[in-house]
Amino acid sequence: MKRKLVVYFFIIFLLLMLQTTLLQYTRIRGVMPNLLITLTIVTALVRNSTEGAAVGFFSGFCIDMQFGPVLGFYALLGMYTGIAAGSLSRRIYRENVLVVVFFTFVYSIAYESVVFIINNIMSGDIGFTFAFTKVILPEAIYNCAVSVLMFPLLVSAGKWFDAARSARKY
Amino acid sequence: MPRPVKSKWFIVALVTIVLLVVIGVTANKSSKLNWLSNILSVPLKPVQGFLSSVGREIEDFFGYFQDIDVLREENEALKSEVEELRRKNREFAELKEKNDELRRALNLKAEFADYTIAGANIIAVEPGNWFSVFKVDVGERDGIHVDFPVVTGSRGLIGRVLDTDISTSNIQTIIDEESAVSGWIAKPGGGHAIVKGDLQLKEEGLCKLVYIPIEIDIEVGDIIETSGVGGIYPKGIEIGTVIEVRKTNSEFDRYAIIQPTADFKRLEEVFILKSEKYDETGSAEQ
Repeated sequence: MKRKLVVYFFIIFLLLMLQTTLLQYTRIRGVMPNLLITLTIVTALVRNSTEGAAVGFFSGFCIDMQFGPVLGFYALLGMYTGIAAGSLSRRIYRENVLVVVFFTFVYSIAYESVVFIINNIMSGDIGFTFAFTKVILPEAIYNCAVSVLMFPLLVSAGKWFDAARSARKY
Repeated sequence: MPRPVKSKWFIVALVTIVLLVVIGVTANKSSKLNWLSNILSVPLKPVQGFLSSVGREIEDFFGYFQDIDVLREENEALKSEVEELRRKNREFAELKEKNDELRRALNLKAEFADYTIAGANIIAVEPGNWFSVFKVDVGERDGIHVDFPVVTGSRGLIGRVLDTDISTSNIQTIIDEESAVSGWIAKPGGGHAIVKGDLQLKEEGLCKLVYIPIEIDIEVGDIIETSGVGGIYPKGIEIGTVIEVRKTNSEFDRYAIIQPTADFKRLEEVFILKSEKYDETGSAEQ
C-alpha cells in the first residue's frame, strides 16, 4: 500500500511538472497531450477503477490547486473518468495495448467534451464542431500515443504492487 | 462481495458531495478555502521555474540555427526601416514637445502615473488545451492583487491577474476565450468596442474585436487601445492592430481580427502594473 502511494504520488508530480512546463514545446497545431488524464485512464484500465479513481481525483486536485478557478472541478471529473474507464472495460482483456489505446481515445474524447461543455454552457457561443475537430480529436490521438508509452510502465508497476501484496500474505 | 462494493459507492458519493460543496465555496474568490492552493503552488514554484527556463534554453539553442536566414533578410528590411524611422522621429520629437506643452496646459496626468511596475517571469502554463492562462513567479507577498493589468516590456497589453497565491499568480491573457477587454479604436472619431478572446484564433495568437459601432469606418491597420472603461485597465495601453475586418450576416454585424502587440508565442518576462490606489483601499478593508 505504501509502495503504491509513493509510486503514484511520484508519477503524478512528475507528469504535472512536465505538463505545465516542458510539454509546451511538444504542441502540434497548438494542441498538446493531457498527461494526467491519460495516466488516469491507463491506470483505470490496467489496474482497476478504484486506483483509476484515486489517481484521477488526486491529479485533478493538483490541477485545481495550481490553475483552477474553483477547487474540485477537475478532481471530480478525474475521479469519474477513472471510475468509468475502470468499470466499463472490466470484461475486456486489459493487458493488451490496443485495448488501452482504444479506450484512451474514447475516454479522452468524453473527458474533454465534458470540460468544453461545462465551460461553455453559459456563453451561447457554441463552436463545438470546431472545438471537436481542432482540439478534442487531435488531443485524443495525442493521448493515445502517450498511452502506448505509459502502458508498459503501469503494467510493470502493477506487477510490483501485486508481488508485494502476495509476499505479505503468504 | 456486496459489502466492499457498497462502501465503495458510498465513498464516491461522499467525495462527490464534499467536492461539490468545495466548488461552491471556492467559486467565491474571497473564500478562505482558496488558501489551499498555496500547499502546491509554493513548493512547486522553484521546480516549475527551473523546468521552464530549461525549456527556453533548449528552444533558443535550436532556434539559433533556424533563425540565421530569417535574421539576414530581416536585417536588410530593418536597415531601410531605420532610415525611414529616423526621419519620422524628428517629426515626432517636434510633435511631442507640442503635446507635452498642451498636456501641461490641460494638467493631465502622465500615463500610468498611479501605477508601479513589477517584473515577473512565466514559470508554468495551464495544462489543458482550452485556456490561455499562465503562472508567474510573483504573488501576494510582492503586493500583487487580482485584476492588476499585465503588459509586455514594450507596454503591449497581455491581460490581467486572475488569481494569486503567496508567491505565484495566474495571468489570464487577452486571447483567452473567457477574456473580454473594453477597447478604444484609436483614430479620429474613434469609439468603444470589445476585445474578446476566441478559441479559433487563440492558436495563432490573435483575438477578436466585437461590438464595433456602426458609424465607425474600421480599417486594417487601426490601433486598438484600452479604453479605461471597466476599471481594470488604465486608458491608453496598446492592445493590438486590426489585420482583417470580417462581415458576418449584415453590414452592421461585423468584427475585426486583432494582432495583439504582445507576442503570445514568445512571452518570457512580463510586467504587472501595481495600482497604488488598490493598496490604500486594500489596507482600509482589513
